[in-house]
Amino acid sequence: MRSRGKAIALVAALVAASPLVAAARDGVREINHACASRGCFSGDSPGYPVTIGTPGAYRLTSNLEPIGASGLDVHAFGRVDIDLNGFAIDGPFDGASANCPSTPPLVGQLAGIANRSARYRVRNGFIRGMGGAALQGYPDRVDDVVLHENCGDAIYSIIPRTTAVHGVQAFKNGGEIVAGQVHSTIAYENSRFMRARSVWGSLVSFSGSAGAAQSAVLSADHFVSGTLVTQNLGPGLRVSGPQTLLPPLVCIPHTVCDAEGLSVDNAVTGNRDGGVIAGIDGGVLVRGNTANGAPDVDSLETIAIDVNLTSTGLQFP
Amino acid sequence: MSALVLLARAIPVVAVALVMLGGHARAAEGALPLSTVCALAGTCLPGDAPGFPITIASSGSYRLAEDLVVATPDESAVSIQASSVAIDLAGFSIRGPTAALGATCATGVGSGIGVQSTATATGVSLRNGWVSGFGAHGIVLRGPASRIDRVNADHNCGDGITVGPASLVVRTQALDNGGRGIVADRSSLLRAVSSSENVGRAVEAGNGFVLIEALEATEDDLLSFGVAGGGVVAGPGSMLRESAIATREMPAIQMGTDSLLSDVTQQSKWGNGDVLTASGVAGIKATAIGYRGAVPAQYPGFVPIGCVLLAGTGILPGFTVCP
Repeated sequence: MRSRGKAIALVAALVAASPLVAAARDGVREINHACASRGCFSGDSPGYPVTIGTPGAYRLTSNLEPIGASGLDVHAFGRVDIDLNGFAIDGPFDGASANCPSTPPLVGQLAGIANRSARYRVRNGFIRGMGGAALQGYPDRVDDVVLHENCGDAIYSIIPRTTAVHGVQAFKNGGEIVAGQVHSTIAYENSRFMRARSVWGSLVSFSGSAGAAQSAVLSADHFVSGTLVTQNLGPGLRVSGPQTLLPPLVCIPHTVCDAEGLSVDNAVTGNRDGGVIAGIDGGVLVRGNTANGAPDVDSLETIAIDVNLTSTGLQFP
Repeated sequence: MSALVLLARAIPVVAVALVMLGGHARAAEGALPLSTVCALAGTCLPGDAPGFPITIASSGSYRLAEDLVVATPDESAVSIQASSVAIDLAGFSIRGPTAALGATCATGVGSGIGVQSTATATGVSLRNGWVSGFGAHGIVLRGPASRIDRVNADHNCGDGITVGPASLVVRTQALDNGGRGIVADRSSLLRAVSSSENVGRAVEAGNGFVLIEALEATEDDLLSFGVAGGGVVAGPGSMLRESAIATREMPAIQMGTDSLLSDVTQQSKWGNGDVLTASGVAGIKATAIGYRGAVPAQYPGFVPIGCVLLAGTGILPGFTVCP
């Protein structure tokens, strides 16, 4: 009996000493609100953010409810796949500016997913109510996610050209979407706009803010097609041009960065400060768009190179 | 006793303890289980009264442990009254008694709804299963920013799926419902969805600013002929793209002003249907037609973009024919 008692004591000691690694029945590490309080993995400190320091696949098994911190902090050296699994990273804010932090948080603070170095993919759930950005850092892919009522950006990619966004609902965020390729995405009532190199099959409406004429509601360095841009507060669609450059790119006019902007078969309607605005510098193809309810100046094919032309809908500043 | 012997004796105890600990952890950390048994006993959730519906009054994660089976057409199964509620159907069904009736039952058979949420319940998530056979509607998520993923809503007597503004519906099907297939409020995104054989419209989004992509909508059921069905009806500022619509009723596609269609194939199986109308203006006669671009210029608010592919007898003033 005494030896059995010692065995039980040893069990207790072993269990107490070992980190509580979340279940990983299929090799996917699980993250939930309960484990966040004590540390979900080896190397993850108790409390938020849940720190992902090892490459691999992760899956939420409950909503995460970070207060005063980011939800996840990804800094593994390698790829990280995050399946929100229908759950939410659910912050305490509602996206209304009056209820957001009085001082905007620094990059990486109060984010849904913050990261400093690793590349990650995220899909299938919600990120809402964060005091900063919903997604920030180096996302590779964002699929089928609802990003709503965050005080900061919906998506802010540090290297936009490497970020693909697909099937995202971005609603009432305090910032914008900054990414590389945006496809099949809807942005509605966001305070700012969408910046991407390529945009197709997407819809942007009721976004921007009054007086934002210096920035297009939807802008792209390279290609915009089959996209509807309507009822926004700033200009509708800006293609190429110095004001559309995405950080950290630095392009001087007349360089390759500023060429070959394409705007094809979009509908740009009812925006407050103009419809389609082509870049100052050359290589912009604008074809087959409507601009604020009227066809653009040449709906068949317009190649605008250093022209200065202004019409109701289409502008070449 | 040596340490090795002690360790050897401890191993089975360790194993049992870890299994128990793991099970406890999952129960404590995972989703709260929902079942018919606990619903009838009122033990699924604190404060939930015995019987249906199961009322979810707190944010959190919930998971079906078995099919939820409701006995009468007037009973609802799940009522959500809080934001940030995630329900994993886990491959199970929420079933009412009218599944066998399918589209033959009309709205009004009962008042039961499979899953419903209040208008203030934001960010409700429903995924991975079936909601079938309710006397009224299948799924009614009234609040904003809901998300439905991999759900089948079928054989309900009313509408299959209704979502509030800025919602996301993906990989989901509405089939053989007695009302409309999918009803989406303003600025919702419907992607990779199927809405077929419903008595009412396949998709209705009257408040507009919706993006519908990869929709497959068919209507073969004779029962649906002659009633207020049709394909897609969307309000202003909406997009329909990369979709296939085949209907008997008219209009097959009706979009509000400032809308954009691209790569949409429409087939009016019975011919001479109004394949496309705008703002209530009568549509165009055609037997089969496919669009790439927007709608004819003569309809208010629309400007032709690109070209149109014609098959059959359709005539579309304002368009050029694609080469």
